[in-house]
Amino acid sequence: MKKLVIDPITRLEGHGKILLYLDDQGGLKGAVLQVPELRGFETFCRGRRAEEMPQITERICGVCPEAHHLASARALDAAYGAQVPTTAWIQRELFYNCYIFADHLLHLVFLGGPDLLLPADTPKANRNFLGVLQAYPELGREIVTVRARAQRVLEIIGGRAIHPVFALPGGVARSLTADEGKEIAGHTEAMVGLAKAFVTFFHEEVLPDPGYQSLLASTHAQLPTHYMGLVDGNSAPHFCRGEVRAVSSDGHELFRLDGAGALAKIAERVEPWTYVKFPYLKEPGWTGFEAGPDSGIYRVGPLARLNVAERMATPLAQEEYERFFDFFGEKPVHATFAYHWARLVEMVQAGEAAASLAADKGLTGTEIRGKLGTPGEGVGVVEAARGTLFHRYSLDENGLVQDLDLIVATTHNAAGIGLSVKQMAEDVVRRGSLDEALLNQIEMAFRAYDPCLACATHFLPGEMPLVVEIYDTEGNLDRRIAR
Amino acid sequence: MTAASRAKAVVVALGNPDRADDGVGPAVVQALRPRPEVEVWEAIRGGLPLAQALVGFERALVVDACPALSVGEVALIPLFPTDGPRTPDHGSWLHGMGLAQALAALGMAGLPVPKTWALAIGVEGLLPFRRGLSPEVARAVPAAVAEVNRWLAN
Repeated sequence: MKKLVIDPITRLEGHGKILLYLDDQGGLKGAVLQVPELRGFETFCRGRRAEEMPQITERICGVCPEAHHLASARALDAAYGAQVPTTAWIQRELFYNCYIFADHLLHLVFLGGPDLLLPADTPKANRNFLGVLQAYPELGREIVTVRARAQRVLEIIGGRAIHPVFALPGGVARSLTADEGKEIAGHTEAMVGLAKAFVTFFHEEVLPDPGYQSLLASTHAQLPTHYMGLVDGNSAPHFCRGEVRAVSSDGHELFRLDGAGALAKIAERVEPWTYVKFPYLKEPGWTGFEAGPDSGIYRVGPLARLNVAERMATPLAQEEYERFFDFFGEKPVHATFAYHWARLVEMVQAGEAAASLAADKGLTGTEIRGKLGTPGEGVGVVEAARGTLFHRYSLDENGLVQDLDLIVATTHNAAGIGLSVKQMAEDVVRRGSLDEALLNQIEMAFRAYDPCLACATHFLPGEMPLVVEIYDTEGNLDRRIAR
Repeated sequence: MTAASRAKAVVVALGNPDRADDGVGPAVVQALRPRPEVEVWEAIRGGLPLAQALVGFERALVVDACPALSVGEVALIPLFPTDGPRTPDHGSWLHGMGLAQALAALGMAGLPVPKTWALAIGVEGLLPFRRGLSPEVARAVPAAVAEVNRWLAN
């Protein structure tokens, strides 16, 4: 049996690898994603002061510090029994919608963009974000400019240009001035304008493309899992408040609970070949690496959030949500490459919600911090751009961290990503190709989830070269492909 | 702060002080003498978010840990070599867009990106969760500080 390893080089223990196991006939026996684990993190955090946690946890991730920052603050809200004032919530939600907008835009254009926006036969040398900018220079310029404006809102509210320092247990650190509120409103209006333009572009240039249509319809990219995500009181997706809702692969509700209740519904599967734990729903339970109604494997992220919702929270997003489900003619949608389109629907909602919050007079209110009660245990749950993020802290009577758990989005999706990679690899292996085509197809399946192999992004040289190594049955290197 | 009101130069320390020698960047900038004409940041985020934050500056220096160098080695590296920014010849990989790539993208979109260098300090490839630098890397901090000061003087 041969083992094929796809390994984005990171500095993390265990790396983030895709392992493909081939049998002696060259067929595919299995596929596994190894997600980096932050070994030693829990130990490091025990005994720390609770109010340090929003800063400590956001530093573990160079990709979505905003999500860890707010999940941590929410866990502390719960642990202290704090009532967060309205103005603090407006700040938090506005900040968070700008983060979702900017992160989704980054993925749609720069990270997943080459898959989504460039024809499938684009030469390898142009199949990157520079190729996207060359193909669509005006839109590219507008996207870069407006994304910077969303980033500017994050800086105003978050307190720093690069990572936030504003959320505290029970509220936020400071009030915003009227001038800041006015500047924020201008930026969010531009975000809505770009969201509209991008929707038009998507329907004129992307969706009609036969390459994308074939990806959406591909039998090698349909994965009937269960889904999980946050919803508000109207069952619309909410990125940082509400209840966790799970629906089955055939669309009926499995549960709708607060963060602590939802965590109690999740178990983690330990496999002997990896230190990574695979979350699954206790009911129906673990049945192995397979999707379907009897499996406990679920997915999170943009597609999952649309599947668990009954509607969107804002008008333009609602229109796009209806187009999305009309196109597929079913709900839940199981097409892995629909993650990209779902990301667009969410980006529209995030832009509209940010504009609405920026127009709220409560934004510049001065009551920004609620009283804290006695420290205890608390769960904070938010939707990171790539899926549900749980923080659970247990504090002692002095407010020191006794115990903690973090379940991040890519961990929730680990089993689903492995299955999607296996589906795509099976197609490639069946066609007898194990080189560049393998890399492209597997990367595309992987990228649809927008996975995060945290902590590696800023480390010099700042890129993650892709390496494929094929080993023979005895573990000898058979072939190495690097790019 | 708007770009118009910014200083001409910025020094950005990247790194997580909770991950041992990954915190060498912050340790270097904390040892710098304050200068009103220079902004100094500490951050953990690179790629496009950092590149966007650098727009409007004339010069930028990113101080970061680097496992590609020998432990304790200090090297000043231009991120915009004269033959143009280095770009990958493949589809983008996860969130792996490097700072040079991101600056190239912003430059292509017509934004005024700074001339940027990286001051790299060699560290081990695997770093634990711990506060404080190893003795080998701590000994490199004065040399790195001197390098930053030379860069600022030029």
